[in-house]
Amino acid sequence: MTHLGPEDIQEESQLSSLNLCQSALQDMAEPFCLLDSQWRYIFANKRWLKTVQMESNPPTGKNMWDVFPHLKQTVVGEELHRAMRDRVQVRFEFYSAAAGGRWIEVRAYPVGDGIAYFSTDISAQKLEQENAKRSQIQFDAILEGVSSGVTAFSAAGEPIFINNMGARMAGYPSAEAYLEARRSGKDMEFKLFDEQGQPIDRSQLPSYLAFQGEKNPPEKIVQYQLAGSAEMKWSSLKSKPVFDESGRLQMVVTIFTDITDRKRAELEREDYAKDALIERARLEAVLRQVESGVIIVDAKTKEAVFMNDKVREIWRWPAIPTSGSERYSRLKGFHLDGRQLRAEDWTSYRAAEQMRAMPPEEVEILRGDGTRGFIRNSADIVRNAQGEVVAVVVTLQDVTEIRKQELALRFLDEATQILHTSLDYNTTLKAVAQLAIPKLADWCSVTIMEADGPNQIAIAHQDPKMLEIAEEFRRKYPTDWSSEGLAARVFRTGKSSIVPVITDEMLEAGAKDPEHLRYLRALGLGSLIIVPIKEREQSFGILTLVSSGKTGPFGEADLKSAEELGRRAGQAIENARLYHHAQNAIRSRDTLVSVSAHELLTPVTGSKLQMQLMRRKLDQGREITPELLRKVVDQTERQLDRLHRLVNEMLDLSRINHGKFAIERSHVNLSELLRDLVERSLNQLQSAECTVSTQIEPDITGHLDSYRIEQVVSNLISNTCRYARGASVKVELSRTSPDMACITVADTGIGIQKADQDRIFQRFERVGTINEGSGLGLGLFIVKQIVQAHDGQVLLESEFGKGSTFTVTLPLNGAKNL
Amino acid sequence: MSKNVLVVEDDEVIRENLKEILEMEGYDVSLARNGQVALDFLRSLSSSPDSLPFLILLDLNMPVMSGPEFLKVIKMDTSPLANIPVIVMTAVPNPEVLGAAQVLKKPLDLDELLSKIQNLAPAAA
Repeated sequence: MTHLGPEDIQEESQLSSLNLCQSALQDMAEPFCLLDSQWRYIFANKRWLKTVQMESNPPTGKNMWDVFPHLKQTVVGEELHRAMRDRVQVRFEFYSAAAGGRWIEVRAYPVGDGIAYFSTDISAQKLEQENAKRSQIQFDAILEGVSSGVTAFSAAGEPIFINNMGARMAGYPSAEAYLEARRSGKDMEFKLFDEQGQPIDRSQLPSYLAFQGEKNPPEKIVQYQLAGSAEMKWSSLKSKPVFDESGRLQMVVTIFTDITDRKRAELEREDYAKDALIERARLEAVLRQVESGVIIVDAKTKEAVFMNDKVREIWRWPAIPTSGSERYSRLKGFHLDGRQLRAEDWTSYRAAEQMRAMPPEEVEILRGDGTRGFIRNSADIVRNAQGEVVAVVVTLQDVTEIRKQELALRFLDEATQILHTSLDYNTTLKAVAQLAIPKLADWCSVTIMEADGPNQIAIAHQDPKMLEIAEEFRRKYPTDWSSEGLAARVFRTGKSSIVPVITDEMLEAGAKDPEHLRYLRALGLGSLIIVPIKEREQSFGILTLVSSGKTGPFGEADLKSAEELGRRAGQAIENARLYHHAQNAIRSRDTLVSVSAHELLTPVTGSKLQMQLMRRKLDQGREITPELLRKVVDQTERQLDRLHRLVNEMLDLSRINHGKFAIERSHVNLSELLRDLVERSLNQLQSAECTVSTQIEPDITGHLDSYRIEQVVSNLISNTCRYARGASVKVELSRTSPDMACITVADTGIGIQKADQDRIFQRFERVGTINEGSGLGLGLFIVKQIVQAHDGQVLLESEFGKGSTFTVTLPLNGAKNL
Repeated sequence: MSKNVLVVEDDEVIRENLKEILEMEGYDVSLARNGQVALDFLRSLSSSPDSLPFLILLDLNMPVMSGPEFLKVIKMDTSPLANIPVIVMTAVPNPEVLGAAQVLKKPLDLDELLSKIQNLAPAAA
């Protein structure tokens, strides 16, 4: 090759190939120049001139080191000298601050005895390289910084990259340690399981799928256990295949993230959720069973989000509204003073508005079925984590029965007080009936069985007109106490009766005629209770309570209260009766004492007068003749006998009163007994100026108490002497049947008035006043007791003014004792 | 005025003994066994008031007509009967005495009875 300087090139411009070359060099995109062995520029193309900014001043012929002296000591000087000296091709890069901070790549070749060199501005590539390097560093930093493990495996399965996190997750201290272990084939195995803890088939792993060429294998969650560790860890695996431009698999990048903490938290959350479900189920089970109604109300909307069945039961309203506005407008509640509740008065409403719990409050409610009841409401609030009130829990308790019981107890208390105010139960029971309305019932009536039949002593209703209707009804349709009617049955059996709901059909069925039915309907019979008024099994009457139904049907509690009232009324009546009985007993005792004293004192007075007379005679020295003495002795003996008889009568009475009056039977010849007795009574009869005749059938014998039978006849004779002075008396004994004897004592005296005939057989009963005659007035009473003890009968036939006949019929062989 | 005392008493022993005692004291004694007999006796004397007894001893408990009934009748009588003093003899603890001048409890205290009679007797007046 010829050494060409710039001049030469111009000179040989005719040479077309040379020109062509020169032109090509001149227009070449690469800066290019030629140096001779003396470092003089012999050619430089336009590009080069532009690069070194010498277009207007080409350095042709100048020594390079003169033109660029600063380059001589640089890599440029060194390398170009080496090319010149050693005649070798060199290639180098340098940074030229003089060229405006650019990177220049120089390639120099020995040409002839000089060199040619190309200089290329590689600033752009250099910058790119720098950036790439910086990116690499940043990328590494990122890979180290991420909390995930990152690996890259070549298509052949060799590890290309692993970050430290990845190495640590695989159980190595560092990435180097891992790679080292891997290279030396000493890497550790670890066990892999799927999410459910089952051993996993590696063909399911995303990395495997990526190696298989799948571009986007799905993420996989696995559990793994490092060799030598019992700890089960969780990881998510994500792999991506990397292909070159021709589509060949270059490598597989896998990112695996330790999600153990997240997984554990998730599991815990799942457990919490399960617990919460159980908790909720438990709560619902409780709410289903509690005796209280429970409503959970949304604090904002007032919507009932939960309501147990008890609520519907208490309200007797299966479709009780859950929507707040509807509920508050349709539920009817009343304060205890009767004012109706407004929406904002309800406990739940106030709790939500005021954001606080509400203490229990009692309100009366109008239930879904139209009846009334009492509930006790309370509310508490539920706050969320932020402290906002989100719900109101309302509980309601049905306290109707408690209320009713309180009412009933109060009523019973008051009724009892009234009953205790007086022994006149007619008045007290009237007041009690009045007290019962209208709180306990709309109607209350009391009927007492008295000696002359049933007597409705009280009837109460708030409306006088209703009372008139009731009175009319009673007149027109009096209760038949022998019927099977409810009232009659309750009185007879002493068992109370309740009809919770009286339907119109029942009235129709029970009505005797259309008018009867009209009355029954007019009376407003909704619910009925009839209880006996009784004390210790003795029924005195009945108490009737009727509700029109507005206050609800009567229930068991009402029945119990009514029964209790019946018992207390019974006690009151019993007390009154006992009191009167006691008063009578006291009067009887007083009478006995008074009569006894009088009767005992009469013979004492007689005898004493006689003794005083005798003393006077003795004092005055008068003669006491044997006749006089005999008379005194006879009289005294009679007076003592009389005293004796009186005392015996009193003892008999006491025996009868104490139920200790017994007869002692033995074989008795009744005929002889009677004959002897009349014989012995002759003195007495004569004193009473009575004449006596007998008609005694002989040989009548029986198994009798001879002493008592003698007492019977003796009392009858004494009675006759006392009341039929001067009459003729006839004593008879006959056998009326083989086993029955009949004794009669008949007189022709003044007789006994019809009205007195029964009374005379009662104790202390004497015809006329107490002042008549003598004796305790027990004679006939004792007669009757004795005869009855013999299973016999004593009868009196008498006509006033014409005389009396006492007839005693006696079974002769009875064995019954009194 | 007579020295006559009327004894109205149903018990024979008391009646007879009172009669004997009063006669021993010098009084004339008439006897009646009940109010009715006494009333009949007194009315039979009404034509000759001087023969009326100056005193009636009256038992309370008697058949036919009792002491109180008898008293009621004679106190309502317009004749001199109504003025005859009455001494009631009774075993009843607290008798209701209707217009009777005096009451004596049975058994009788004889001294008291005699002194009361003596006070009422015309000889003493």
